[in-house]
Order: sequence, then structure tokens, then C-alpha cells
Amino acid sequence: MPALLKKEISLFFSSLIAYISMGVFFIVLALNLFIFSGNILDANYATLDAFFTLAPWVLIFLIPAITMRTFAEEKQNGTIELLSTKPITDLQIVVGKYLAALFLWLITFLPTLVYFLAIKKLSLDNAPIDSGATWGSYIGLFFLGAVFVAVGIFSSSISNNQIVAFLVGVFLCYLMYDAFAQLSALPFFEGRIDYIIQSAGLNAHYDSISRGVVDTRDIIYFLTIITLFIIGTRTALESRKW
Amino acid sequence: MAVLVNQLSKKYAEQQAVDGISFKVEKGEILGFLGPNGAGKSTTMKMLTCFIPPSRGSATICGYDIVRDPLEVKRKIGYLPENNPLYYDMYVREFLEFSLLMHHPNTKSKSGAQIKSIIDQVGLNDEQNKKIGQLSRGYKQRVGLAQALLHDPEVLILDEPTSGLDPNQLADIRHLIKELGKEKTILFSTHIMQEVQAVCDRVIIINKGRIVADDKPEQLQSRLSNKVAVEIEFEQTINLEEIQNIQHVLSAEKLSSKEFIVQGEDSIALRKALFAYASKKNNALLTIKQTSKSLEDIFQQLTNTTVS
Repeated sequence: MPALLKKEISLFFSSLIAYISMGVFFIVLALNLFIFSGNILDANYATLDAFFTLAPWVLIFLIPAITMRTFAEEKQNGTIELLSTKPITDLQIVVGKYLAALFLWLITFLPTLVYFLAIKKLSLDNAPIDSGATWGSYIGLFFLGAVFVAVGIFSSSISNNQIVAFLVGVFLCYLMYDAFAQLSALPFFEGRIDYIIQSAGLNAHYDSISRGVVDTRDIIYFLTIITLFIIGTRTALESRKW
Repeated sequence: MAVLVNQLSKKYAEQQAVDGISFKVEKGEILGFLGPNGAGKSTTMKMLTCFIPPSRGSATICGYDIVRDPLEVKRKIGYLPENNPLYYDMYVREFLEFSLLMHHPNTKSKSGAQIKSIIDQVGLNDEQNKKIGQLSRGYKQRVGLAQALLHDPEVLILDEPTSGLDPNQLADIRHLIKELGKEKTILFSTHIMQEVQAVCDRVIIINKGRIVADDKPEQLQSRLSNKVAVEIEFEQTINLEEIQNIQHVLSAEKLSSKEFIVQGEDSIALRKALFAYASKKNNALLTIKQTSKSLEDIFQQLTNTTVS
């Protein structure tokens, strides 16, 4: 599996998508946070809320762009046959590709810690920034991205067209992130059902972790969704055997 | 026994791609797998390399079952898939390192020497630092072969290794396969007859998912060439059935309404019978020409079931 990991990462960086998607992520969020109207310098509060509200929406588009090649391209070019006939199981292929994409997400994600340092430096007289909530939000954002990576890889495994993989990925990420919350807000869902529907979506757990309390239930939720999509991906990959 | 295939079948949704084929390949044998496009060659190879499972039947490679021990099977084989899929964005050397590490994750120290010797063997020296996508077709084919050979597998399964090569490259690759066959078991598919004659110890002809011949190339040729084939042309139109009913005619093939190829065992008796028939029917025999059967004709004869 290390060989696969290395190959995935090196292939990713040999394409322009890597630099564009990572650049876009960093720049869009920086513009929004520091330059566009309503930015943090006008608001006079040392908080990264604006960043954490916008980031998931950027990720909905960005992560499927990172992951769209993973299986779609291999299936299109037939290299999946080359890969599958090496001494490696289908699950190892999926996990290897997932970990590689997760690593790419981590590399995209880490530079945003600069925003935190920037704001800390900018605050007057070293006024305290809500570190708990900020770190919670960072952890939440990382897990959110990790789920999107799993969703993106799954989308890539069900098609051999990268555009289709991208669009399905965006759709599923949106569905997972926001649709459940929107659904629960509909008037005919009330009380407990309302809450259950809301909890099925990523949004509720992301918000919960963002408050600065890292609840095991939220972590378990994220890990469960990741596992489900990895299993789904393996199933899609094995569908050639049906 | 390096490869043992027993009643292997594959059925896709609508189509019976491979229909109960059985054969064996001895250690160190070069087996040519021959058939028209869509005969089931690639499907058979995909099953033997554990890419897709069989619908029925079984096969073992070096004693390992393709369904129960896929990982062991995959360790024993080197595979060049159809159309030679490669990662075009990778560099030749980088790709070969990747392929080797997939087989032997812990042999980093040795890998350099091993890769170098393969690069020499397949003649990629000048290209090793290029991107695969930049290589010409012949060199890509060599990269595909190198990838299959790299981990020193016992069994090589090559799906049309020579397709799309120019005559010089063809000769090179054939020579390489022959060299490799001295130590390894090789199963390779092709639809080019000369290749089989040039390279193989044994040939299996497959058509519509079934084995129609399994023999040494020379014997296959002699087995069928003790039949004689005669090309004939009549003056007037004549039915295929009538020709088939003539004495000494074993089989007949229609070329046009007046021209046929007929086969029989005894050349003289056959030609005499044809003359006798022509004069009896008052249908003049314009041409009668004995044709020799090449392996190509045998192939056509065995695989062409849609004689009109």
C-alpha cells in the first residue's frame, strides 16, 4: 500500500488540478476573510467564524475536484486492470487511495492555520481569541473534509467519466452537508424526527464540534460515514465481478 | 503444472464469452492463444489474472486457485493487459519502481539493480527518464512488458503483446518472448498467425468461447494439411449442397455462386470426382487449382463458422 500511496500523491502533483484547487481554496477564503467587504478587519472582532462558515461551501466543490480522478481515470484508461492484478486486495486499493486523497486534503488544509496566527497577531493588545472554539472548528473542518474525500472517492468509483464523478461528488457532498438540515426545517417534520434528520447531516456535527467541545459522538459519526463510503467504493469497484 | 484450466466459463449479462474451456500449460512452455476478435481470449486472461471471477469452472496457477488464493496467484504472474494500459503521467523509471514496490514492498535496496536489468533487457535505456505518455507505441509496449517481467514472475500472461508494432519492433518483441520462454511459462494471445509459428511451442485456437484446436503449430498444420484443398470454378451457377454431395468431398466453402474451395483427403480421387461431376452435369470446370493450407487457412477454417 505505501507504493500506491506514493504513486497517487505523485500523480496528483503532476497535474495542474492539484495546484489550482489548493490555490483556489486558500485564496478564496483569504479574500473573503481579509479583503472583501464585511471582512474581519471591518468587523473588529478577532474571530474566524466567517472562515468556518464559508469553508464547507468551498469544500463541497473543491474536494470532488481533487478526488474525481481517483477511480474514474483508472477505469477510463484501463489502468485499473493493471492495478487490480498486482498482489493487492480491492479494499487495500480503496483505502490506499483514500489515505492519499486525505493527505492531499491535509496539505490543502494546513496553510489555513496561517489565518489563525494572522488574526492572533492583528488583535489589539493581544486580546484573547476564543482558542477553544477555533481549534474545535479546525478539527471539525478537517473531519468534514475527510468525509467529503470519502464521498468524492465513492463518486469517482461509480463512473468512468471524471466530469460525472465531479458532479455526483458535488451533489452528494451538498446532500450530506446541508440537505438534512434543510429537510428537518420543513414544517411537517416535528419534534424527535426533526432532530434525527438533522443529526443525519454533517452540518449538525460540524456545528457541534465548532463550539469547542470535541464530542466522541460527533467523531464516531464522522468515522462511520467515512467507513460507509469506503465500503460503498469497494462495492462499486467489485461490481466488475458481478 | 504451471497453469491448469478446468471447464472455465464466463457469462456476461447476455453473452457467453467463454464456454467451458480446459487446458494445461507445462512449466517453461510458450502457449499461443489464438482466435478472432471477441473469441474470449481476453476474458480468459482476465479470469486467470483474477481481475474478474469465472461464472463456472476453475483454474490454478502454480497450484494456487484463482478464486480462493487471488493474492498468491497475482504474486506468481506478470500480466500485460489488452491495449497496454499505463499511467501516462508517470516517468518510465518511476512507474517501474512503483510496479516493483507493489510486488515487493520491502526490497528497496535491491530494486535499483533489478529495474536497471529490466530496462536493459527490454531496451528502454534511452527512454527511461521520459514520461510514459511521450513514448512511441513500441516503447510503451516495452514499458508494459517491463512492468510484467519486473518481479521475475513464474508465469507470464500477455494479452496481444505485439499489437500495433512496426515490423522491426515485432521482431524484437517476439525475440524477447522467445528468450523469456526458456525459463518462464508464457501464455500469450494474438490474432496473428505468423507469430504463433515463430514463437510458440503450442497453440490453442479459440472461437466463440470454445477451444477448437489445441496442438503444436507444425502438427496442427500437418493434421489439417493431409487434407487437400482445391479451388474450383464452374461455368454455371451451382449449389453448395450439390458440391458437398460429390464423392470424396469432405467439406466445401463457397467463394461465389460459381467458385468454391473443396477439401478432401485424396487429391487425385477428389479432382477426378470433380471432373466426373462436371461432365455429368454438363457444367464446364473452368478452373481447378490445388491450394496449400497455411496455418492461416486452418485458423480461418476453424474459426469461420459463418460460411455463406
